Amino acid sequence: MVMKPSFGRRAFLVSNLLFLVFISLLCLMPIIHILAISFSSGSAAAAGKVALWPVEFTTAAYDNVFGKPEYLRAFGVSIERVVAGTALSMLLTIVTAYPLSKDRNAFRLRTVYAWIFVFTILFNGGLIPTYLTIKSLGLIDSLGALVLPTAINVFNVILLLNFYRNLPKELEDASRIDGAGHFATLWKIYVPLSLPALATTGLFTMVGHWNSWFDGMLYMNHPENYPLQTFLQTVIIKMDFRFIKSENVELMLQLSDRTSRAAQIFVAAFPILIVYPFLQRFFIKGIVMGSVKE
Amino acid sequence: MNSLTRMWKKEWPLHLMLLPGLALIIIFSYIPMTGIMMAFQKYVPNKGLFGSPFIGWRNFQLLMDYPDIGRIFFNTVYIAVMKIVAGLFVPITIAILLNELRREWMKRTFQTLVYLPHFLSWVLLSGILVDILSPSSGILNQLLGWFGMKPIFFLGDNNWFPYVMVVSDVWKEFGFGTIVYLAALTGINPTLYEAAEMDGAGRWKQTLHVTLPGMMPIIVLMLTLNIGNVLNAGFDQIFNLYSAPVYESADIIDTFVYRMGIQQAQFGFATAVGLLKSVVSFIFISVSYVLAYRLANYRIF
Amino acid sequence: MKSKKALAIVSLTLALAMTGCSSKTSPEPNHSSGSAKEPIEATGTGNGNDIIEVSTVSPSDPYLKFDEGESFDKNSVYDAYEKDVGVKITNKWVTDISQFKERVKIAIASNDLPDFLPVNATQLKELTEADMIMDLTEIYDQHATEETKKFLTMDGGMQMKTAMIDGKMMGIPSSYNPFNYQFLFVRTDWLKELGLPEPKTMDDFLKIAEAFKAKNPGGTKEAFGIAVSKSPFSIETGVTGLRAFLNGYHAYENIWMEDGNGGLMNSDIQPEMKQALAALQDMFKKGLIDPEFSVKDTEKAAELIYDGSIGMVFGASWTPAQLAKGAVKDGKVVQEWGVFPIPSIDNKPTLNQIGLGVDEYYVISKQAKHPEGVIRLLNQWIVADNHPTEEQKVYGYGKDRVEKGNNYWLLNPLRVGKQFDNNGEILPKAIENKDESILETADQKTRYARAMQYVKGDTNMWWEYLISGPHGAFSYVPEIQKNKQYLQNKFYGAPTPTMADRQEILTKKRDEIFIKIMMNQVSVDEFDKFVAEWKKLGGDEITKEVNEWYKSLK
Repeated sequence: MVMKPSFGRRAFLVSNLLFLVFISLLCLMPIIHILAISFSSGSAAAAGKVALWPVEFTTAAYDNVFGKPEYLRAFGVSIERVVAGTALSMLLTIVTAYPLSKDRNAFRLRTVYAWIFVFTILFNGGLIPTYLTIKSLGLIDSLGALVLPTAINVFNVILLLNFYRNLPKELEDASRIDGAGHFATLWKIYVPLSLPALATTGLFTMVGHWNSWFDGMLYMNHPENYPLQTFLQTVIIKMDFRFIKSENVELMLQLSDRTSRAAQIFVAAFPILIVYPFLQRFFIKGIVMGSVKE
Repeated sequence: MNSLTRMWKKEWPLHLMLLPGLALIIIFSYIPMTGIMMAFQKYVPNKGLFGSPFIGWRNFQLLMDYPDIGRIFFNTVYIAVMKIVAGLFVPITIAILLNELRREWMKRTFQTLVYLPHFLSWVLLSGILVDILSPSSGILNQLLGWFGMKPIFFLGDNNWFPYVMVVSDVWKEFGFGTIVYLAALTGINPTLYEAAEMDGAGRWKQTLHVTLPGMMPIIVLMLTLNIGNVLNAGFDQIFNLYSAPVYESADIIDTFVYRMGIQQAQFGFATAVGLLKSVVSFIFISVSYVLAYRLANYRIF
Repeated sequence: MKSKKALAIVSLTLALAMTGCSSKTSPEPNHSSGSAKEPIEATGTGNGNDIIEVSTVSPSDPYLKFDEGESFDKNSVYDAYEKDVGVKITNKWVTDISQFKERVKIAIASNDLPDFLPVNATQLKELTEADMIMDLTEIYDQHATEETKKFLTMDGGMQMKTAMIDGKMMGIPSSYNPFNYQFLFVRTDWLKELGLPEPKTMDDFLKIAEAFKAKNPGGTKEAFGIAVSKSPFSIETGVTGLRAFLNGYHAYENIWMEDGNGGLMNSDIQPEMKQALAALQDMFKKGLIDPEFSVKDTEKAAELIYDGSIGMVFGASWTPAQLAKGAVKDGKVVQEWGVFPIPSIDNKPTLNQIGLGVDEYYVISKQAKHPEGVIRLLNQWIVADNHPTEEQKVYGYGKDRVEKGNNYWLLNPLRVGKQFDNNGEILPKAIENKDESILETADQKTRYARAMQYVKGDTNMWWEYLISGPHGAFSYVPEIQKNKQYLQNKFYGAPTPTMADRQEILTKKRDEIFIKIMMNQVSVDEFDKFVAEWKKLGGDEITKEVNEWYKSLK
């Protein structure tokens, strides 16, 4: 099998590598820039003097974020939300995608059901009715308000059902012959073989939960219940200059927008950034075929 | 009757599996959908959805009577379509290129790096883009200067603004977009590559005849779902980057609705526009669903 | 058999759905019964009366720092209200200040009002029409103290009038001092260096701008005359805007002014505006304005001030607080700034355009059981904010009653400000003579203390000296006030129907054309086309409605 790659092949591999290095740098530079800003003094950042290295190094912006006792609590709420939300959502997605992945002979109403789900991506009632529904269910100020409405992500369901379909039919047949029911087949055959797809949808769900802040603002009546991203929104003040009253002038001065916004990005994104490299181990090639051969 | 019973006997676990999901979307999606009525109402809070007076198509009329409406629709579709196409092409290409890397750690490093920009907000990026694209001091124009080109006011020029939106959006999202294609690549049967190699196919041929067809279901799926976004050109991005001189090429439906919302206390107008957008998406998705089924005999969902 | 089960499940789901639906329309019974019970349990610690409870909603502000063990549920300010006036304050919800207005909108739309809350003029009208809020005329008359009544009509009843709908008082105006003028801020160290006179006329202003551009005293890559940001005509641009420049040309941004025939006309389409735009275009052509201003927000535009590329900017009295970010570095003042009144193009003085001083109103829900409690809160706030006894300092600073930057005043649920202040008369004099004795209000005392800190060498307070000190921004106010060099918008209240539908397009067209004229992308004569378009696109209709409204006032 070990063949010496041709010249063309080697040229491709080298240029491919260079190209990927180039675009990775393109993605990395702004991040480094923002990191540099977050460690620079407010005045240097305000004057636009910071490029890729901190100017007048300080950790003030981070002290401002971490200095608040609310930070840890909000972090806790976020963790709770991500764990509960992802677990629930993944469970539902796995189970919901299974029947929808069947073809029409095996499950005659599947297309009707599929459209019922897809319809909800396209149409929604808007802010007020959704808020009223959540309120009348008594979910205000509870984790449920953050986790339940998004528990079924139809996009993820569709993605997963497409992966399910690509699994070899022989495996399922074999399992059915062994007398396994739908639940057992799903659990023993589908789930282990869909790890890359599950890692993908799981990542989307986690990132979605981690990043969303507006629902926290909307459904939490007490700032103590804010998840991290919602809390971080409150760290940065955006002043409405129309209503600035003389008492507020001092606040104006404390408004060192840029550094704290930059710090916020890192504080907020870091935990979720490290999730991806961890999940990459599930992107195993040939996982499906390997199991067929056995 | 008989066949129905038989069907039920065979299929009930499948129905059961859908039940929790259905219950959730009924509660959190379908019940709130009654709010769509607001599009046709002068909503009075203490009368509620079922007691407020109906005003017919007035909100839609207001939208259609808007002097710049044609321009706004054009801008929206123009930017959105370019984003859909580029947002499909770039991640697929990058996923395939990443797949060519032999060393696992390299692949993972690149993957992680390109996915970083997804986590930046447009509020923050807008300031950076103003710097990078500045005609007087921006890096990009300095580069162009080396090639003897005149500086371009990318963010202030109607001829450039839409493309800046597309490129910067693709830059921000392509890394995150590759994830799903990388997952699709794992599902391709390695024996197919071996067989192709036996037949003397080079890497390029293998890509064309094995990799791409293997990814096709996911590609078609992503395309169909993204086509639903023809009227979403990206509010956050444009809102943070546009300015009065480029309204002509930059004003999209969502920015316009936002500005109207400041003037109006009513939710009716925004709901009406939202409904219109939903209907358009629905039509586009349905058509592409049917097309995919007819042409490729593939049901996307 | 099994299909019956499925049916049962479906109907169960549906039933669930229906309950979700129906309970939507009924106003949360749990809450009201809960709040009715509590006052009975509460033991009166007040002046013998029963404690009454009122609910409200509050924005949480990042600058409000709670003392140990305190929160929105329990804090020394709420305790003080309960003890002093027998009103127990509860919050239906608390949300971050950035989302407060959005939440208020939702609270109104979902018919879920607390006993009282602040709303804007449009919402005041909407709530009145929907019959969701109380007519306060009698309650206010009965329960407001003489001091309160005087306090809220200090301006001759103008702001109070805006809260009246059909002769009924529908809200308490959240008033403030409307006489907030804009000024011209100039690098005085540069003026000295280049031997330039102070800007007395528009001509001086232009000469200075040209000199700053040509001589580039900051020694940067490229200098400009005046700092401008992307929405120069918006009221929201408090610094780096151009409204003040327009005023210098006797042009005004979207206000309604007397047309000389007893009616009102809009300022955007007047000929003075064309002249002002022509002047701006001229400045742009000369390179006095950053050619990239149209994509820069205030923070971005201010970079050029901080780094020494620009030495002039228009802005509100608090502008020095913005300038301080570049002017004070490592404890040293590295940029010297001076404040000047807005120069005028001719021998007529510049009239500063100002608003009415009220954008929000406290309204009381029809469901409220104790509206008088709200008025009691109002009475107490006015006393505690304006002349607190030692005891009452708790309302501003918390239980230890000392200023420590915790901004406890933000906790007071109902706040109104003075419709006039005499900061301009008192502060510059007091600071110049170091005379504490003439200070009157709490605000003046704070500002005086800050300015004194600067005098003693604390450069962190540099900005306050430029606002309140001799030759500070405030020092020009008495003169402006005395000579009535201001122009107040004659239209107030909720937008007219056509305004609600059409103001957006008028503003959009205006900004588009005005900025294109400024940037020399189109000729100044496009202004005439804009005027015609403005009229056609709803401007004429709005003018008619505004004039009908104006007549109805008389």
